[in-house]
Amino acid sequence: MSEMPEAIIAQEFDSLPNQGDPQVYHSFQLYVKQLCRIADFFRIIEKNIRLCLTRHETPPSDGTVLMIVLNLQRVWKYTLELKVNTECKLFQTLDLHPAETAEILRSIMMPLSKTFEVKLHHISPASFKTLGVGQWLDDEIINYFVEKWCSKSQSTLGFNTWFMEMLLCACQNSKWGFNLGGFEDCTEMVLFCGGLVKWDRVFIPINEFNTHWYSASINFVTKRIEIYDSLAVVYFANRRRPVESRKNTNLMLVLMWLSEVLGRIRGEEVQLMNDSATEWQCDPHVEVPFQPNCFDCGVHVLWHLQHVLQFGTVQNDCVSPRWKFSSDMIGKRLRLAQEILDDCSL
Amino acid sequence: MSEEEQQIPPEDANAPINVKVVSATGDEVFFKIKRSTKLSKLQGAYANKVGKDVNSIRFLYDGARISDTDTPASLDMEDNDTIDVMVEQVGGCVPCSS
Repeated sequence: MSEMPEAIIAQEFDSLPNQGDPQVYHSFQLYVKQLCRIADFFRIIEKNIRLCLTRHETPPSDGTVLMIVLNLQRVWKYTLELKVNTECKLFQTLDLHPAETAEILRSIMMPLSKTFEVKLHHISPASFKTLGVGQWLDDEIINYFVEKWCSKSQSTLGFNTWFMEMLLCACQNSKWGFNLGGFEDCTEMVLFCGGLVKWDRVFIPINEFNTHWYSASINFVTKRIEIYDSLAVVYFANRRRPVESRKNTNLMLVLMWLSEVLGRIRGEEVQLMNDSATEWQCDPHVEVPFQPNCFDCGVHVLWHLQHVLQFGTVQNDCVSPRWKFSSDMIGKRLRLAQEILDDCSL
Repeated sequence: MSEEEQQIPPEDANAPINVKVVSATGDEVFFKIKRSTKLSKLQGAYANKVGKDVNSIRFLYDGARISDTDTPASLDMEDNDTIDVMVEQVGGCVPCSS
């Protein structure tokens, strides 16, 4: 096996889809899917060979098998690399051509078959359409991705969009006394946490007056509580104000209380409310990329989550094509819609 | 005696339970429902009662979404348990004037 992995893959494939191709998006999709399939294939062969080796009492001594395994690993790694690079190129292309991307988004949202509703019963066609051009995202879409991505991550606990609404409601009823009805004891909170999985970050999507989405995160490693809001006006109006009259000050108090409760569930002492010497830092108005329009805040919230999962916080100056925000989030909408369609294999 | 005791569990399992449905504004509606009845039926009945489209409201038990195939038995619900009902949420931005 003297050939380089590049040569082997190139043999199997035509070159990367080029920009002039009218079906460029679908060519990219197909290309990435094929790379995934090939990577899986190499991985399985390699695993099987290793499994066979462990069953042999006397492994062959000439090293041929070892060479084959190493080569398979190389090809596998190269295929994955190629897949990641191809995806990045696609994401970049989408961000660079918003008008064309909007057209593709419209076209993939059109034909919704019956199987769609059966396979994803909480996401109705009406909810799915909120990912469309210029639409306001609804709770079903946000909850779908928060649950999916967080449970996959194993490191981040994602609350659903009703959690904060119910918690704030309980707070108001108790006049900010933090004597919070059902939330008083941890058991209720543990139910919301979906059991006691090991997590060290928490992500909370928040809906405001049924018109706006923003989010908060609690990071038990960096000991930071942050609130992310994609509206520039809110950020600039509040940065200048004294702490007590900032918009998110009350919310931050609730989050501080929540951090103490979640800390207890994690089995660590977090003392914020009456401890001025605490190491914890709170930022109620983090500078994040802002939405230049009146409809993208829901997509921004899902991107806040992407960053929390990837970096532990929202990176304002991220340049990686996979993670960076764009002024028009249309490419992200397409990626989210495609992910849902892929999940129900449509 | 022992024969009677053995008969109680199956009777219990079939006995209807009372379920309280509470909206975000605190309004309460009570239902009596068999433990084996799908909660989607209760959702439909509630939507009818309050005059809302069933697709615009979400039913939560212990903070988690109830799916159409869930029953009180599958969720381990007990008599007098509460179901929270929330209205669908959307968001794009806050109008700049407000």
